[in-house]
Amino acid sequence: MVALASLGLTLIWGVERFPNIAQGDFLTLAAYLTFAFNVFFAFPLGVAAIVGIVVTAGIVLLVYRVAFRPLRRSPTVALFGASIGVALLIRGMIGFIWGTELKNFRLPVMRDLSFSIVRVNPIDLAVVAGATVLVALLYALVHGTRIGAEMRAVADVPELARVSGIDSERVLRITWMVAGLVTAAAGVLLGAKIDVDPLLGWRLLLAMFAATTLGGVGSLPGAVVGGIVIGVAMEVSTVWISPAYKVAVAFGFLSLVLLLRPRGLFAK
Amino acid sequence: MTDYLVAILMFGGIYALLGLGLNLQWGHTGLLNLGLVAFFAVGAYTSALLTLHGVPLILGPVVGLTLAGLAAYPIGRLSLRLQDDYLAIVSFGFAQVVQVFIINSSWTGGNNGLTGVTRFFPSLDVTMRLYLQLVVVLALVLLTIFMSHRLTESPYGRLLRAIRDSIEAVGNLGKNANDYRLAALVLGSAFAGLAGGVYAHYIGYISPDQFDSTLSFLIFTGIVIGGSSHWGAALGTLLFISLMEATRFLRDFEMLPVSDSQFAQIRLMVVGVVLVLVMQRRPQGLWPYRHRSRRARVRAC
Repeated sequence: MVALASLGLTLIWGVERFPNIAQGDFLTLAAYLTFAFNVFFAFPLGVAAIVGIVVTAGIVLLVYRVAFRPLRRSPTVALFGASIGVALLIRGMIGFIWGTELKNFRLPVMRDLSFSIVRVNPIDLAVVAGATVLVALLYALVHGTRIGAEMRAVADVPELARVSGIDSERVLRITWMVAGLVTAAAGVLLGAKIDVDPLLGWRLLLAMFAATTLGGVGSLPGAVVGGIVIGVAMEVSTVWISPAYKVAVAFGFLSLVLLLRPRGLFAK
Repeated sequence: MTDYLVAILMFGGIYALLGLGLNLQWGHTGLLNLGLVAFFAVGAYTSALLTLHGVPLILGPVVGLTLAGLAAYPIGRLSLRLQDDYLAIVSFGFAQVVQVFIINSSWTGGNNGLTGVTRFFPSLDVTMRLYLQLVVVLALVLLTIFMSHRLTESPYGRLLRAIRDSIEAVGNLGKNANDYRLAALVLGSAFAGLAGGVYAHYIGYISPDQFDSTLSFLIFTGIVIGGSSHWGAALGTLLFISLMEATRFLRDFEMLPVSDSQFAQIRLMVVGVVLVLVMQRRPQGLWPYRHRSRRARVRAC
């Protein structure tokens, strides 16, 4: 789960060079939109999820056009500040429309599937399958297509990419859209797993930062591996310490990585 | 009504102290501390706990200030040798951990918080106390502005701004930029700790939800609006927070057909929009720091 959520963050961080604080709130937004389509408009969950993800990606793109693109020539910190503003705006909007109570998708009740000795919850299975497919698709896009190569070029040396005739504006647009899609998908899958509330994504943000840093900023396999390591560590830690301190585990990892190998595991 | 205004000014003053601390880090050195509220909390809880255990009131905020500054040291050591964005993330994480810790520890009172924290001037009557407290807070704000001013006009302050503008240039001059940045981080966080101590003894009751990360963002918005001069940061934070408080009145007049919690959300949205607009239209704020040319600054250090 953390792995999936970190993918969008690492994309933006790698290409735009700032950690987007609003990423967690994009994720929450997707979960709420899916909830709305699912419960208010009574779409089947699958359709609601797709509509929710697409609408979220559209909103992310709009946010990029309105909030971030005008800051292209500003220092990183200005983008960072603006992303705080965007995060507050989205969170306020979610709270305004849907209130702050917990929400749940309308999920069919399913029995656990049994594979000889292992019992698996179908939702967990769907989450894992969805995450795997997304990671594969994203990897194919970034490493197998022309636009993927252009994205990597802009991420590495923006000036060089520009003189090579790459339309960096288009690349950025597509990067934001793809990041929006992936983050939204993560939000929907997370919403299927646990209750949806306005701080759903926000609480995941530190884990996402830790995973991205551990894997190496801008690296997709890094985000996946980092996400799995952090996610598993946070869950396993609850055997010994109170679940409330999961955040501290993520923070501990972040500190260790910065201390020992700040470039992350998969740095170029 | 007057009491309400005094209370708003009181909070404004305390938040102005926070703003001044953040301004030293962000406005003058370019450090983005997203965990400001954590240092505020460290100051508040330290001071409250100490005085609850019989330590004299005057010592509480001083120890709180010291501890908040000390807490910033490892954070700075960890992240400042890396790129700018790492400080933001580490301080953001630190704030979350501090909050979780406060909520889940028994000696901090957990979610219930600490009640009966010693107030300032306990022997005086309510009105008198209110005004004297205001005098104390405003005096502290003025003192902090004065100290910050002395600091930033010193060679050290010029060096900090030079670091903000070009860390490479400062490095090339043979100065260890990171030590100076670390000092700015520690000092600014100590200001936040002082604000925390004052806050705890003013309202007499502290609980984890008062130290939510939204507060860091509000202060950040305040100083961004105000600009990086010390007066700008203090006034920006004071005005912004007062304005936020004052908008509660709109709600009381039943002018808008929304519920209380919805109104709180609208305010959050407005803050977000303001922050994005300021970043785009006027990144230097209303009262920018007036200084000499960049070259003069680099030469000066």
